[in-house]
Amino acid sequence: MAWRTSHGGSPTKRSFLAAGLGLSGTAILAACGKSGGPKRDALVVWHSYRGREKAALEEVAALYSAQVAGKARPVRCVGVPNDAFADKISAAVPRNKGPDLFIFSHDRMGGWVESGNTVAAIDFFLSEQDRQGFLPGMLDATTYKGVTYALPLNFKSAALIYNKRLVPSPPRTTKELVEIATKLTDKARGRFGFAYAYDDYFFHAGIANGFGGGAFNAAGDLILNDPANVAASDLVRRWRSELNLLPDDPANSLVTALFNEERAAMVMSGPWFLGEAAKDIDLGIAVLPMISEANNQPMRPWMTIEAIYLAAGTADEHEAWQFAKFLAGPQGSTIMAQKGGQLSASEAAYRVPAIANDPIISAFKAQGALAVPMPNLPEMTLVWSPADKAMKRFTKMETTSQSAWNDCQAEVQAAINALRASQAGGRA
Amino acid sequence: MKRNLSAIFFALLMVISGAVFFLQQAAQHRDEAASGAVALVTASDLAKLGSAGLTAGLSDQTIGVMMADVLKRSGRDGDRYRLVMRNGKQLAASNWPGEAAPRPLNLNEKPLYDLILGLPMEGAKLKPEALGAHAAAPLVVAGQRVGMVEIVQTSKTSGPALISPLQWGAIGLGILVLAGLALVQPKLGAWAGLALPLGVAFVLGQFTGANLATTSQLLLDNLNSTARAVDEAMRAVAASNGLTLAGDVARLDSAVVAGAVDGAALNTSLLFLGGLGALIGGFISFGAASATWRALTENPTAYAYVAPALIGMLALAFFPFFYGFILSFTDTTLLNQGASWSDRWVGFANYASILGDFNFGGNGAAFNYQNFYWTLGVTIVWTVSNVVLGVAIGLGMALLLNIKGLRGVAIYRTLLILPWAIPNYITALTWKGMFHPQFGAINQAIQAFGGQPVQWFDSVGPSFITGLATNAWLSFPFMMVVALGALQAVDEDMYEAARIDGASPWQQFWLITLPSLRPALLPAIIVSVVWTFNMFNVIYLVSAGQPSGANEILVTRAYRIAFEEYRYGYAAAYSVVIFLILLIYGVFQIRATSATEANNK
Repeated sequence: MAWRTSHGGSPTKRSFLAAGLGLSGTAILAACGKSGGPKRDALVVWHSYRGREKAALEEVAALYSAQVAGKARPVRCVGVPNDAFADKISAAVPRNKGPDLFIFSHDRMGGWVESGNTVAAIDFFLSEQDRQGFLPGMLDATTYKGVTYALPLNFKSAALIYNKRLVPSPPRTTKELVEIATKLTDKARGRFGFAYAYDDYFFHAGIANGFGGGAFNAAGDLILNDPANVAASDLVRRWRSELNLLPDDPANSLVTALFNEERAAMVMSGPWFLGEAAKDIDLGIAVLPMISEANNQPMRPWMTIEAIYLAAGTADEHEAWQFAKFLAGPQGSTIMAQKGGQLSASEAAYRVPAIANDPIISAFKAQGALAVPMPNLPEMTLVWSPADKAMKRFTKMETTSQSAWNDCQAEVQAAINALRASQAGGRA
Repeated sequence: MKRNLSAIFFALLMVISGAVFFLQQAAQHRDEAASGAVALVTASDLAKLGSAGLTAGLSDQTIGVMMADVLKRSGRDGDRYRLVMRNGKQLAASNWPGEAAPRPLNLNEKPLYDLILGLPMEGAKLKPEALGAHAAAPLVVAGQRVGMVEIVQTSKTSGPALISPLQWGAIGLGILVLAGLALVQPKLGAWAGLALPLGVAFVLGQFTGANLATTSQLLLDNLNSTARAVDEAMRAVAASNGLTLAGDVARLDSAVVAGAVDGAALNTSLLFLGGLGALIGGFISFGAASATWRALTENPTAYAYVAPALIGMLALAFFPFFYGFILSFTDTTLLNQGASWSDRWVGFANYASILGDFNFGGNGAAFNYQNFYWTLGVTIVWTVSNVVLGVAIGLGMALLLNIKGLRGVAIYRTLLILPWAIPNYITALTWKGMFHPQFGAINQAIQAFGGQPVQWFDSVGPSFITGLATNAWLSFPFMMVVALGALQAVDEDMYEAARIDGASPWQQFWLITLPSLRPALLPAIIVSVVWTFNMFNVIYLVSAGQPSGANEILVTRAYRIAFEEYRYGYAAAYSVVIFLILLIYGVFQIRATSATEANNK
């Protein structure tokens, strides 16, 4: 039996490079990455909230700090701009310059786990009772290779948003969708029954997942050219290029503009759309239609789940956990839902009548029950750009769906192999 | 003379202290790796036994007793062990003093629990603890990791020193002799500062290599006999408990020792150290050090004033540059950022892969637009066409604005500078909207004049034009301002003289205007080429390289490699290639301009 050599490489070679190239500073930084950081006088939470979400989070933090005053450290919330957030975490936490906890969506999690020293596992703290407190499927999003790394706070997924004046009752199947859309569409005059960013893989995924396809299978293998994905693509291609129901080059900004000018009666978009929609349009939200072409399976859009992570190397993991649990638990989630306007991932928030009876929240919650978490594998980021490219190629009839996805599969697989090859040294 | 001696002294001080540090590190690493290997064999054997026991339905307690038995039989009672079970978060067995087992884990024992799922199936060596080598292996039942065995090996395995005292003595003697020679022969002295450090480093490397070769087999045999003892004890305990174990006897191969001390790398490190020492020696013995010191002491104020800028440049410009440069020789990606530089080092492989990319697709597959040479070609065409267009429009506008007696010049000038004043990503997004096939202003204008709408982003040519139009809009104001300034400086007398001589306006333009503009326009064109070459925003935001990445330029491609494929090392190499192309262009361009300037004088 041959044992693999340990991953660190020989220190001699490392010292050679470090001394020779003036990088000893970086090497030292990297070397102390694993030791615990100093204990600050407050638990620092990084978030990228603004407006009422920020106010709600600060309220929860103040409530918690008051409850534990004298027993544990208070919580201090620090806002960090969203666009730089993930990279800041990747750079700061492994070097012990980061927060004790942070709030971010679940899709970068796999990358953080794989690069190490960024997020702490929480299975040890997480009791069965804690697990029951979340809506079904939410914890799957924050679980990577069998280990849970974060507590879900809220979720966002696309649903069907429609103009009530143009569409009195929303379609329940794609067959009805096509019927309504055909009536309302006059492409030459720029009027559409249904519009969405169909060449954006994020939105297409709902249909692909409904057919039983997707980007990866349960084992984590890439299945972009799977027959189910090809069937889903052929459906979109039919809508766009045979039935001429969908607008050309549909950027999200175009979809919003069409809806606001009442030129698009129905759109597929998420809760973020509500902020952009014109206030004078009476809009309704419904679950995306079932796919008639796939035995009436529901569309399963991807959802992104915002979660609270324990940063690796935080001075007191249990204390950090206490706040994470409080925020994701009944008190925290109710405040975040009521005052922050979030779609809570926790059951408890929906016991509040004002939330449970809100038609918009109920519709998004019903859609969330059908949605699937976006894969949290680090390889997922390699999929986006080639998949969008493939979508453009077959929707514009440049080639067949099958051949577009075959090319895409080969391209992404090559990128994954290149990424994985770098890891061949192994990580103990 | 004194200088030569101090050169030798400082250079050797550097080499020898560095070598002592390296050798000590290497010896320590070798001993840790050897102890770790034994700990790992022990942990894996115990985990194998435990897994078999759990599968056969034995209790955690029984397995704990069996583990203690194995350690006793193999004479390793000194090793500390823990058996941690995932189910119920139990510490099932332990022989650490003061640790009662079985009991649930404490809050501060979370790392033990986290380790279970963090372990690879065949176990792992962990960071050495203060007590000794540390390893752990998972207990596996039906493919699931249900617990783990952790071993801390208290007895240390230590091998012989990498350089014996006798060898150190010999080296010292050699140094004394050579230093003495350098004193006697002052001409040789300066060179001794160079040669001695290199020689010492070389000899140290040779000694280490020879010592490693003779001792590694010995170390390996020792390790193997320990491993075999643990293995036999495990089998005996298994047999007495009625368990059958699959698999062969664990055997360590030479990779353990080879991995523990990379002889070749150590040798390279020492030689490198020697080189560094030689640099220091040469710096002192050839007088550069004293010259530097003199310069510093003679103008302390000047250097003090420059220091902040110097430090700023070092930290903000040179460090990132060299970091990127070094990164380009590694295969750093998102997944292995934490690994050591030596693990990631790939030499010139990235460059070979970029420059040797002759996969253009074809043979049934789509054309490979990701190919480096295609992207380079697009970038060059992009740069040339943009600069030509920018200069032509800018110059044209400047000539129009320069017409004598033109009314409202100030208004025109302000309006024409506007595209420059608006942030370019806003302009880019606006143009992208204008190129929308159905709702964009451009296609609507084409249709208003009875034309057919163009699918701008569907094929290579039109998609290229979208970027070109946007960038021309962005770049002409700069050229216009430069040209206008230069035009107003042209002496009116020259035109008057030309008119008297009967020159046509065309002749006036070619023979007076253009030559007068050249000193101002040439530098503007040079920077404009660099800007356009790396014009990320326009390409990324307008066409995004559509269709199929055919209209990417080098810099957007590098961005995609780094932030969409997460291959940081490869992207760094790509960026260095871009830098080299621009460097070659810059050198060439500076030569060309200085030649023209010389002609003007």
